[in-house]
Amino acid sequence: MSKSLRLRALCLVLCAALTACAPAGPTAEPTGPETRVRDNLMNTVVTLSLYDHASDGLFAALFDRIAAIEDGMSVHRAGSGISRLNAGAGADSVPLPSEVRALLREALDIAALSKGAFDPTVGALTALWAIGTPEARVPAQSELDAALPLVDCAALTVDEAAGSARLSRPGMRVDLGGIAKGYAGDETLRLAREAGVEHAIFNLGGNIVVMGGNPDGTPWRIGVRTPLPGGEGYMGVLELSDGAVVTSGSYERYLEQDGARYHHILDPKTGYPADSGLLSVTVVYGNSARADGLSTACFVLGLEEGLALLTDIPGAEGVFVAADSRVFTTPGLSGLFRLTDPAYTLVTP
Amino acid sequence: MKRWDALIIAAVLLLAGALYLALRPADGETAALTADIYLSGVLYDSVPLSSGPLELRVPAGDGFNLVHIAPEGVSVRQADCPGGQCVAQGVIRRAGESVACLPHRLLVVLSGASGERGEVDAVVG
Ligand SMILES: [Zn+2]
Repeated sequence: MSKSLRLRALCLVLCAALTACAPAGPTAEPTGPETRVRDNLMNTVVTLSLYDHASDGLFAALFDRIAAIEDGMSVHRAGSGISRLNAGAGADSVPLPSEVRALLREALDIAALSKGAFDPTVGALTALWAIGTPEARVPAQSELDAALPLVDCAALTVDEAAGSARLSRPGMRVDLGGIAKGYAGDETLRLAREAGVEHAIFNLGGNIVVMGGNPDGTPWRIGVRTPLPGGEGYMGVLELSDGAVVTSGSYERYLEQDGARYHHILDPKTGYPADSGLLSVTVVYGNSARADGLSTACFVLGLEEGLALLTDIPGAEGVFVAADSRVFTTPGLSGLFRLTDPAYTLVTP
Repeated sequence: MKRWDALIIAAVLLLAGALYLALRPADGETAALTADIYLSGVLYDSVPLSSGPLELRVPAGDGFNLVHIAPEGVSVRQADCPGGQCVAQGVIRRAGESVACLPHRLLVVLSGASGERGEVDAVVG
């Protein structure tokens, strides 16, 4: 090889190397997500991002599924299965679709696991407080005293053979608000998977469900919202490829009256907003309905009992943010959760 | 001959440098984003973030929302809705992020080239 030829070859290599250093054009990048947002489902904002197999038909099917779940589970819709169950409280069994029965049984399971810290029959209390609606108010103690005996999941029975369920005392109310959004997340993820989707991330009013990791080969990165009212952004980041992440926090919905703040997560035992010293609990689990119920239960239970509850459930992990800005995680999250906001302190498990 | 080769190398380096600058994505991820504003699910307006900073008074529900659009991000600055949740949501900056006023059925979604992946893919809670 002559000297000048060698030099020209060197030039070519140099040129190629420099071109490779430049950021790749749009064609070489992994395809970004196709995202659709709706604001008229489950009284929240639903954002669906598909990284493959996206089509108008699939998006429509996913949103329709969420709407159907809302129709069946909402306490605010007169004809919903749950509304009919509540209307029949103290009277006969009410025939219900298998999906509503399945979610009721799931709710009873979580109630049993959490020893009543999560309770699907909390509806008599949530209706009194009505936090998150224009009718929100602080109930009188006499009203709470009257409502507390109506919170009793032993008085809710599901009869699979008869295809029905029953509330045994008049005035009882089931409220599946604590897990219906989570269930809708599980269902949209299942439908997307059946349609061949491999990478997706869905956000149902702050409940996140993910599959397949990011197409770049790394896990999804999920920010955990700053749990202070009006606080912007996130205070830490969780890594997860498949599963659900749900947060229960006192900042989400609350009522302010006479200088005091009352949040929406009620303690079924006291009838008042849970006062356990926590600002938020984020639960990671394979199933979003259960993650939803467990996050509520952990928030009510507080740090120690909440951590113990998650430790007893294989595959369940959590991030607990205490009112003094200390952050605790279950041991399984070590290496998968990192703080990004120096205002908080991570207490290593 | 040697001087000729040096000249070629210099030309190649210059060309590569120029190409790098030309192909580099614009500064800041929000540069190519558009704020799509929906009222009751229907597209009301689309405003490129690069055309800001500007403030858009949107007649929504039985009131209004004041939408602030700037190259750095989009927020609802003021609204007469019950609760004011939309104002409390703060600034959105990445493609796919949204800010909503549910009582007014106002939804603002950032769309467009998202560029590189951000620090997080979603925020829980
Ligand atoms: Zn608003």
